[in-house]
Amino acid sequence: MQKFFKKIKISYRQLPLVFVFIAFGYLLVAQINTQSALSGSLEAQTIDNLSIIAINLSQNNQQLENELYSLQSNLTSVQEKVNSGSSLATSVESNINHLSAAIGTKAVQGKGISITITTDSNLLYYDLIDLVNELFVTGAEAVSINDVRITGNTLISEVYDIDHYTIIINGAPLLSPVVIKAIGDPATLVKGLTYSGGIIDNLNILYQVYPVIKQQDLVEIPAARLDVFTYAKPIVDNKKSE
Amino acid sequence: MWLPIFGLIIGIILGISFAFPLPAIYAEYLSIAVLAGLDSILGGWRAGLEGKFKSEILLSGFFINAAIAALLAYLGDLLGLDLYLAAVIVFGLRIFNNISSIRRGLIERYLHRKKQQAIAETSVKDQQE
Repeated sequence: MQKFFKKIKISYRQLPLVFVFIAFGYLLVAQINTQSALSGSLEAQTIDNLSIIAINLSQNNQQLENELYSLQSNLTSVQEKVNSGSSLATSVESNINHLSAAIGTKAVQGKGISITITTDSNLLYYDLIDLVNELFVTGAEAVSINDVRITGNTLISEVYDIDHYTIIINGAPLLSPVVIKAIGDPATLVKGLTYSGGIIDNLNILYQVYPVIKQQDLVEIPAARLDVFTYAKPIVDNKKSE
Repeated sequence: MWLPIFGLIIGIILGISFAFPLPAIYAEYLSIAVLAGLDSILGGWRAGLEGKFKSEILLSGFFINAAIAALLAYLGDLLGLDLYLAAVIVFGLRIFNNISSIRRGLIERYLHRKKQQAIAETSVKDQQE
């Protein structure tokens, strides 16, 4: 090592000098860096520069606030549209529910009456038709016979064997006891059937059929089978859609 | 002479490649430390010209002066006194003193050398005659 230093003409006495200069160079650069960083900072700016910066910042801020305001109003209008869309969907859904209940494609429940006719009676198919008609006339909203929902397409008919008479509903034989259920105001429905000279009176007196009528707080009527429409198409009301 | 310059270059390269981000509040202390360091180096040079140079004195003076100057500035901040300014004035004066001494020393050395050359030339001429 000493030989190496001798070769490059350096004595041990000079090493501290080198060390001091290295440290000084390092400190010098560090200080220059720090100072140049500080001169770029806000504290080092003149009042004129600071006021220009402040004006620019406030202009930027104003622009951003305007943008924010317009975006917020956009958001509000979009939300309103979404809300109106969802309210439209809700009203459409409730309409569909209402219509489904009306045409019988949904099971329904509510106050009403049940009419039970026991086995040994001379009930004919048009008695059932009369009963159902009378129920609808007196305000029944849904009617079923032995859990077959009565709709516009329900078929009530009869079949004769040699010595046997069967009532047919929608192609299936009607088994005893026959239970007719109707949803509506129970008192009105009962009145509509039992007024003197009414349908029940006639059944009692003329045909010895004795239906038992019960007012009920909860009557459940099942859904009708869904008819598939192949040929009938709804007529679109163009004027309305316009 | 080339060795201190070499050291300074190494220091500058180190400072550029390993720059550390110094918080703004310490920038003042670092600047006074740099000033103290510069004073120590110039003092060393002056001592060298005067033939009184000792590397131990330079080494200890450089670091201790720098540290104490920074500490003094910090203490001044704590006490609410501008000891920083006092340090700047003192080191500034010392730097100017050192520089003038160095200048004088260098010029004297140059003149002395010239004088010796002139004497040597006249003695050579005398011998030839």
